[in-house]
Amino acid sequence: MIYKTTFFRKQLRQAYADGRTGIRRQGGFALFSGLVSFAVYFVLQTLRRSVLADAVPHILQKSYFSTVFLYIHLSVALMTAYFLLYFEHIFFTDIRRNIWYMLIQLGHSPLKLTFQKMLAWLSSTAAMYTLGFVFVVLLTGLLRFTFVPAYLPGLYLSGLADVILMGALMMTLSLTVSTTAGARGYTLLFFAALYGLKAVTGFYTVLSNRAAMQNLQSIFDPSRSVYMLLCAVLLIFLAFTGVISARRLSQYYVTPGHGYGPLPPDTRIIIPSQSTAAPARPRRGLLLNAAITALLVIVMTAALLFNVFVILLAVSKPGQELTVRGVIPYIFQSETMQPEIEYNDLACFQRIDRLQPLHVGDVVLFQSDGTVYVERILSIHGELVTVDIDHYPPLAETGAMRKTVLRKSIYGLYVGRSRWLGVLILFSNTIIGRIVFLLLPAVLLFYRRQILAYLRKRRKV
Amino acid sequence: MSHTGDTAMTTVLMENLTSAEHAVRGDNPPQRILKDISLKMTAGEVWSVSAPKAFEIRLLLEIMGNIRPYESGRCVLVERGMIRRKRRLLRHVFYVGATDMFYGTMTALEHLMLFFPHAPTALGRLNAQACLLEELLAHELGHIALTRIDRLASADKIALALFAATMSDSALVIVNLPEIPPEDRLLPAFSALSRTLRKGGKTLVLGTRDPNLIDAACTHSAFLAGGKILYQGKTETLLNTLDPVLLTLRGTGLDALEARLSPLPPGYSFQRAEDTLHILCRPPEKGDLEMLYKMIAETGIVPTAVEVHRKNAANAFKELLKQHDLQDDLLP
Repeated sequence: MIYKTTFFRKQLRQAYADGRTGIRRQGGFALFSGLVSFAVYFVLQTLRRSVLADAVPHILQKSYFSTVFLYIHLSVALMTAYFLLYFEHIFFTDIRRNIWYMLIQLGHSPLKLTFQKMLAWLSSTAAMYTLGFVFVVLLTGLLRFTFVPAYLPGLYLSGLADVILMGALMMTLSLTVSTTAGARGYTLLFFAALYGLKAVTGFYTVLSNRAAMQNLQSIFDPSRSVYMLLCAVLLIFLAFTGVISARRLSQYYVTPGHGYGPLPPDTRIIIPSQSTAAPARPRRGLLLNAAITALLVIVMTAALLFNVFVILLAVSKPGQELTVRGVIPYIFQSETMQPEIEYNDLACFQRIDRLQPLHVGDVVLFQSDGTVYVERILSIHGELVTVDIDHYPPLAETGAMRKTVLRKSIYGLYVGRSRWLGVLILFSNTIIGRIVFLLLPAVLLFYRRQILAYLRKRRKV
Repeated sequence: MSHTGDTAMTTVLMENLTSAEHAVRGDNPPQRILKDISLKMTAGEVWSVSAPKAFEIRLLLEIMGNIRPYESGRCVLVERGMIRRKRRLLRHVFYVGATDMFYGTMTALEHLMLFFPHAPTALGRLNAQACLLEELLAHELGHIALTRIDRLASADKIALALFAATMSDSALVIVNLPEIPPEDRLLPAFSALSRTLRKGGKTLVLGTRDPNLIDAACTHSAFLAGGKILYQGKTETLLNTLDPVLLTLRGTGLDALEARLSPLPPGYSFQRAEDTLHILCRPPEKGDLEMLYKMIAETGIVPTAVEVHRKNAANAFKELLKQHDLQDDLLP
C-alpha cells in the first residue's frame, strides 16, 4: 500500500483523530441530528393544544418550515455537543501535544498546516450540517406537506452560520485556553450568549416569519436584524485570531503537566521566586467543576421533584386532590373557561371552607354528582350559588351548563394559572418526558460517579 | 567537512550553569537541583546523560533544549547563543520530550510519509516509501513500520522519533525521556540510529537511566548526582576506569576458591553473588589478568566458567557513587 495521503486529506477524513470522529461517524451523526429533529417535531405535535401554539406557532405547523426550523436550531446544539465531546480530536489540541513540532522541524509550514486544518474542518462540518439538512427535507417529504423551496436557502444559511460560528469559536479556544475543561466552559457560555444575541437582535423574529424567509435577503437585511452582520464580523475575528494563535503556538514546545516527569515520593520542585509568593488560590478549573457539579445536582433533583409532583397530580381524584400549601393545582383540559383559563393551562385554586366569602364573577371549583366542575359565579342567594361556563363551543346551546349548586359543594377558588408549567407537565406525561424528567435524572443522580468513572476508563483504554 | 576531531563544531557548551529550580524533600530545606554544571559536546558524538533521579536529567536536558530558563552560567547551542524566548522551536535543535508526539491512528511508515510531503508524483511517493521502508529495516525498525503508533511501546516511539531526527536538518538531537522503561530488544535499533546520526554529523543526547543503552549506543556519557556532574567524557573511559570488575567466575567450589585465593594483592577484592564470584580491582586499569589466571590455576580448583568481565555502565555508575560517598540504592 502506498501512503500518498496529504495532511489536508487526512484532516478532511478526520483520520488523524480517533475512529470515533472519522468520516463515517460524521455521516452517522448528521443523520442522527436529522432524525432527532424529526422526533422532536413529533413530540411537539403532542403539545399542540398548549401555550406553545401561541408562543412558537412556526414550529408546530404542518409544513417543511417547522421541521427545518427545528433542525437548524437543534443541529447547532447537537453539533456543539459533538465538538465538545470530541474536542481533543477535532481541534488544535495536536499542537498542544507537540505533534506539529515534528512536522515543522521536518519542513512543513505552520501557516500552511493551519489553513489546511481550518479548511478541512470547515468542509467536513459544512458537509455534516448539509447532510442532516437534506435528510430532514427528505423525511418531511414523507409527510406530504406542501413543498415551498423558497424559504429553505435562508434557513439553511442561518443554521450553517451558527454551526460554523460555534466551531470557529471552539477552534480558537483550543488554541488560546490551555485546558480542555476551560475551553468547554467558555463554549457553553458562548452558546448561551449566541441565543441571547439572536433574541436581542430580533433575528428570531426574522427566522420565524415564513413570509419574510421566502426572500433570502431577509436574513442579511440589517434593517430587520444585524445578527448575520455580527456573525460575519465575529467569524472573521475568530478566524484571524485562530490563524495567528495557531502559528504562534506551533512554534513553541508545549511542556506536558509540570514537565519534570515523575518525582520521587515526598519531593516537590519549587522556584524560589514562586515559593515566596502568596499561597496559591484554588484553581479556577476546580471551582468551575464544583459549580457545574452542584448545578447539575440541583437541576437533576428539581427535575425529579417536578416529576413526582406531576405523578401525584395525575393520580389525584375529585375530592382528594393534591394540595400544595392550600393550593389545588389542575391541568385544565377544557376550553369552557377561555380566555380566563386556556386548554392545558395549569390552573391553581385556593382551597376554601364554607365560611370563605364568595363574590359574583369568581371562578370556582366544585363537585356535583361526583364530578368536578370549574365555572364562574353568576349569582349568590344564601346557600345557593348559580354558576356557568365562560365559553360555549360553536353550535352549542348557551346556558346549557348553567347550574345552581349548594355553597358547601364549592371547595376551590381560582387564583391564577401558568401556561408554561402547563405545557411542561403535559410534556412530562409523555414517554419522552418521563425519560427526560424522571429516568435520566434518577440514573444520573444516583450513578453519576460510576458513569463518569466508566467513561474515564474507556477513554484511557 | 569532518565533524570529528579537534575541529568539530561544539554543539553544546554549558559553563557553570545553575538551575532556578530547587527540590524539596519532606521537611528538608530546598536544594538547588543543578549546580555548577559544565558540559561540552561536539558534533558526531552520542551522549548519555544519566542520574539516579530522573528529574535531574529532565531539567538539565530541558535547559539544553531551550525549554526552561537557567539562573546563572552560560549555555551555547550549536555555537549560537541561547535565545530568551523559552520553549521556542529552534531549527538546529530536535527535541523529543514526550512519546505522544505522533498521530496515534497512523502507522509508523504512514507517519514518516506524512513528514516528507515533497514527493508529488505517484512514482515519487512510491520511491520515497520504498526508501523509508528500507531505512527502517536497516535501522532494525522493520517491526514498527506497519503498526499503528498508539499500539507501539514508548521505547518504540522514541526510536521512531530518532528515526525522524536522522532526516532533519537539526545539528543537535535531544531525547529527554529518562523515565521510560528500558527495552533491551531495541538496543540494536538505538545503536544503528546513533551510528546514522553520528555519520550525519549530528550530536545525540539521550537522557536515560538504562545502562545497557549507554553500553550499546553512546560514545560519551555524563553522570549527574546531587545536582553535580560526577563524570563526563568517553563511555569507553568511563567503563575502563570505573567498572572495577575484572573476572567473573561461575560454577561449584567458589567458596574454596575464594579461600585459596585469599589474601589477594593490594587493590584486588572479591564480590560474591549466588553462584558467581567477581574479582575486582581498584583502580581497574591496574588489573593484571595474567597474574589472576596464574593464581587461579595454582589453586587447582577449576571453575565451570572464567570470563573476562565485559565492562558496563551499571557497575561504573555504582563505583562512581561509591567514590563520592553517595548511596548506590539511588541507582535505577
